[in-house]
Amino acid sequence: SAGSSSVALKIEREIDDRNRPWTEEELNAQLPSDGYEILAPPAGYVPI
Amino acid sequence: MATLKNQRLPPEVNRILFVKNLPFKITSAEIYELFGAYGGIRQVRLGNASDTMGTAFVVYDDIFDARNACEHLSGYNFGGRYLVVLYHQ
Repeated sequence: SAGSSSVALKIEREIDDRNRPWTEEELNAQLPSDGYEILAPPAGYVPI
Repeated sequence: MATLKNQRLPPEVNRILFVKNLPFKITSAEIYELFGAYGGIRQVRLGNASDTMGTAFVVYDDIFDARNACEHLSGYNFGGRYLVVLYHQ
């Protein structure tokens, strides 16, 4: 974003990195599958 | 409160919340309604074994939404039980 100091840019880049979308494989690597079921979102669920 | 996108976040904050003390019979709709109020949900894993019942992993798309949810839902009384919400490490 124009005019941001380099610090703000650096933080924003870090946030973007921590918000990078995860693939299914990355989720499976981080979360247990035995003892847990992946819930199907309710019909018509629209993320806000 | 406006969430500043360039706010520095502590390292333990992340998009995966581990929730304990959920009612055993909670439904997908209830979880998505309760947690979805804070932002888009990438995935929910609900415990279905004797040692995982009442726990869940809730994955948000946005790290600020996850922090907002964690702050607001920790200790939230849901169905007569106080939710424990932690960042997944």
